[in-house]
Amino acid sequence: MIGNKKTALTRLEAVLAVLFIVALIAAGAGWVRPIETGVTTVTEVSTVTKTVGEGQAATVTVTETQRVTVTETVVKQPEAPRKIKIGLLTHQTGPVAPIGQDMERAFLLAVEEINARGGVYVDEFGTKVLLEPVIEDQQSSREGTVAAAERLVNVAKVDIIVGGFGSAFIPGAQPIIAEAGTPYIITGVSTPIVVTRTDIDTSWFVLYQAIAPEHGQSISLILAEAVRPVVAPDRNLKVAVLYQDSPFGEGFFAGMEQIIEEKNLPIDLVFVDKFKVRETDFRALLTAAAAANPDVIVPIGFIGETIAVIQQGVRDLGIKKLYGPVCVCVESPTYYRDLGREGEFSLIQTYFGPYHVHPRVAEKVAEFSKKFEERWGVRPGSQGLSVYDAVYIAVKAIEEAGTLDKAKVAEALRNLVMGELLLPVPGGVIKFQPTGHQTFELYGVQLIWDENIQELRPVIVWPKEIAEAEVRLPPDFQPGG
Amino acid sequence: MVLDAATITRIIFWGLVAGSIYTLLATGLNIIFGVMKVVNFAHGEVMILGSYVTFYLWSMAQLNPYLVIPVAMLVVAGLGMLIERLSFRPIKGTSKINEIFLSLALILILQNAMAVVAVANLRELKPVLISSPFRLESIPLGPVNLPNDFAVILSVTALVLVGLFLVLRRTGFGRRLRAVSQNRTAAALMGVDVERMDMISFGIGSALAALAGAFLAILAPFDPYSGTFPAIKAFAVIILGGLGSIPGAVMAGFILGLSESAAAFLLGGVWKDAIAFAFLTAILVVRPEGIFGERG
Amino acid sequence: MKKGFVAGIILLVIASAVPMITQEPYILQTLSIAYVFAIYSIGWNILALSGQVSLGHAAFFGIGAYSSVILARAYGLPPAITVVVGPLFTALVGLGIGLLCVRLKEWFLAMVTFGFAVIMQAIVVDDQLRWLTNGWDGLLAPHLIPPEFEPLRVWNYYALLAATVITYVASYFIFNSRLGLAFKTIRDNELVARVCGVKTMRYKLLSFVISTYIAGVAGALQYHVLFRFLSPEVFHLQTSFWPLIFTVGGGLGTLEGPLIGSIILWIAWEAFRAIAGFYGLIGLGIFLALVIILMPGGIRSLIARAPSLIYGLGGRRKIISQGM
Repeated sequence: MIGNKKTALTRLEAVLAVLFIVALIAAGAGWVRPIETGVTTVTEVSTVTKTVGEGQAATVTVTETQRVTVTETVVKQPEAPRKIKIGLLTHQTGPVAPIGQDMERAFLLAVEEINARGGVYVDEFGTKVLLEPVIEDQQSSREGTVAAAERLVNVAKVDIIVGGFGSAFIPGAQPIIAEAGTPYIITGVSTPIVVTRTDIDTSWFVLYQAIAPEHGQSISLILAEAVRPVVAPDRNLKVAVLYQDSPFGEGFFAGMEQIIEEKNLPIDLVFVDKFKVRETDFRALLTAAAAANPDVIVPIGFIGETIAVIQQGVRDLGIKKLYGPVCVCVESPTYYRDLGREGEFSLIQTYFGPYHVHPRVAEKVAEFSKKFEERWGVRPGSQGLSVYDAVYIAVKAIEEAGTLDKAKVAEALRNLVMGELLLPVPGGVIKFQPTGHQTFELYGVQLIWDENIQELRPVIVWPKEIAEAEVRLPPDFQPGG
Repeated sequence: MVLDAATITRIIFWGLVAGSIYTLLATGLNIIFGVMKVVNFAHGEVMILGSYVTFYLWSMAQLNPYLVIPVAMLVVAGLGMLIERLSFRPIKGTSKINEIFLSLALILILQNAMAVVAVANLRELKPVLISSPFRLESIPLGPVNLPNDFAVILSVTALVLVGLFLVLRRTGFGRRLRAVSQNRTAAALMGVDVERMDMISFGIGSALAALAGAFLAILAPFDPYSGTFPAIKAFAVIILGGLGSIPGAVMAGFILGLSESAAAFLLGGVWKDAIAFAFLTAILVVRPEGIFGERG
Repeated sequence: MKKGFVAGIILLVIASAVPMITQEPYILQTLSIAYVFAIYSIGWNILALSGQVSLGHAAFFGIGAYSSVILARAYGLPPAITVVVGPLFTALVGLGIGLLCVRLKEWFLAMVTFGFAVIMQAIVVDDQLRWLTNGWDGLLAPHLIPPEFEPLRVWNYYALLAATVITYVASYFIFNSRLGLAFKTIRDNELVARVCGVKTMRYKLLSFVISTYIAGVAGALQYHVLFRFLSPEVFHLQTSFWPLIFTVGGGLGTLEGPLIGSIILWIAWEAFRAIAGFYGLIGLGIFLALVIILMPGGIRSLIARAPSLIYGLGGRRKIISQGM
């Protein structure tokens, strides 16, 4: 290569080299930054504990003095020896970002609320301690999730983790979290494997989310108890199921099938098929489903897929059947807006939505929704709610443990008993099962067109105890046969 | 499963409809390939750019969405030319894989830039769609119902393709463009400004992608990430048809649409993409240069 | 050649010294991921060396992971054996795909391989194979390093470093043998290669087999060491694009390109994550675009010319000779 003129660097390449070095420095900064903050906050040791003493009354005074400082500087709080680092795993970028954003917003709202009250009382310090939120991006990928978990537990060294979305992503990050021994309240996973797997120590994890089989079971129950009496009181209900080819879709369907068999429900699954994640064209699949002549078509997918199935079925193919109950993951104002008239009479199997709520938690949720909307300009989604609750559960567990010792917090989580928060739970009491799983109380709504606002609005139709109306059928409904 | 004549008609019909949308995307890619011999893997993101521009124009102007599509096409064509000038031209002639690499970088930039804008405007990133005024109307055609939206989309697609064909065949500009795509050096020697042709072809390709994007936005909800897979399928279409051949792309588009439709019906939705690609493989094994491709 | 050898030894020493300097898990983990990518990219690069571009290496990466994990689970074989044996199946599949693709060139080949990754995912999640692959519920991968080795992360790090070195040395021998020469000749001009008596078909298939085997090993290592929960998500589009990004960014068709690219670009990738959210990824996109626009030969070309950087900035644009 002697005498090759190209060996000399051009100016552009020099610029690039500089950029490269800057990137590497940024990488270094990325590693160092969170550790630094962790170190500096520990420097001040509180002496307030002596003067305040112990007990409930003392805490109140602390709260009041703190409230002043909180509103003025928000971050600085001299009394506490350190802050509680609470980590959130979420998707800030990539195709799952729409859901991740909701989670992040609810998370920040909860942290702000708790800090505005002065933080969390930790017995060990004898004072209230502020929360420091640390958010890491799962990047809608396996590599991203693993890296995010790694940064949370080993760089930021958080005390507790909440959130996390994706049954395909979170299990890959679990070994890291278990190894580091950090308690983690999982909210965005529908596969029970995260708490039942045996290759790692799962005592660090609790799952605050209805798992897919439970969703599937209640879909079957809605069909059997609310839909069948209206559509086919004297024969089995004929159901076609189209589900997403993913752990989530498969889990839902498995749950549906299981309870039909177990309880011998009057349901015939006349057509079952899967579709790929982010599918947009369902016409061939729907044609096949319609050829089996069902009463009901149940699409199980994310929001975009569900809207596409119902619109293409009603509008393009003229399949005049009942649609749903669809997955709770569609719940957002965009669903009610974009689904449009085609979605009238379709059902959702749910635990929370923007325009409906379980009567037992209605007040709390309304208050939360108002705050959320004021803060972010949009309404909260179901994933946001579970993260919001999870922050409060984390706080409660730390209070119960009275320490930031991770093993004790994890133990306190497992033994926690507390009143339900925003999401309705069976019996109104949050108490994790021995596996570490807490389910939600699921119910069913039907969407009815509201002429005044020109949008769909929900009516609760199942279970009987809270139903506002019976299931209605479209005027041109064609029963199966 | 009941397999009657009406059902079969429906499957074929919807396969053709799906095919026509691939065709639009593929034709754009093909024009770019013909002239520049590059493949822009970020074509799908350009398409979604078209969806978003149409969506914003539509929600701002409160007009019939079909009326704002030409404006969106112009905007996206301009952006496409900018992309060509800033990124593809500098690496031209280095290596084919460099183009893929660059496309992947463009995908990152475009997807996330669109996400930033969407979050700034809509405050969230949930999939959105454009609600056309005809969305609930349809024309009955025997066993199938042709929704009005599809009637418009199919006829616009046909018009655009025929118009493009005429421009390429009958005008001086079209001749210059074809000259560049047949022999770049010779065209340059004959006084054709080949770099200008590159930019224009990229602009046309992007405008066609924007049109496809606008249609997509009317038919189904979209978000910044909806473009990647359709674009790769469009790429499969031009490979199947033979790189650079427009009739090949049209035909391959319909073949792909039909095979997907049939696969989804007969084997299930999971196999839709897999069968489409298996089909592609089978055809390429027999004819390595694609159906209409030139041997050599 | 000598300079490269010295540089390689220095790099190896630095890499081995990392756990002695810092045991910060995040640094070890980031480098470990980069090493798996390096192995994967080296494999991909061998295929590219013979002029064949694959856009579907996720298929082979995934098959390697699945075959190794299934072997380890079903027969209780230690993962240290299955990561070597399992990917043989990948190579077999690679041979089949190579046979299908032997007449295909450039884009045509790229598209068929891409399609193969799509087909693979559909096969793996199919109900009929559930007994084997467990569908979307995935498989837990036994850990490569037995638990009694402490600290685990450091052992993980060294295991992956060793695998990377072995792969790199193997690729060094391929590059500098008749085999490598044949691959390069086929890449540059298949007709000439045939005229020179190179059995092009045989060599093209061979590069397929070697490349897919290495990709399979990389997949197996990633799951036995780093992720440990294997689901069909492995066949995702992005998995196919990684080696292309790293190899082309590092220097396509060169020996050290994939290694340099994987380590530097993955670190850069992590660096841009420091800028939270979409802006980080936009920055990353611009960065990657600049890399390829300014250095069509990859980062390697910059490093190879690093000495002239000093002269260049000093205003003396001296042309220097360099060994490679």
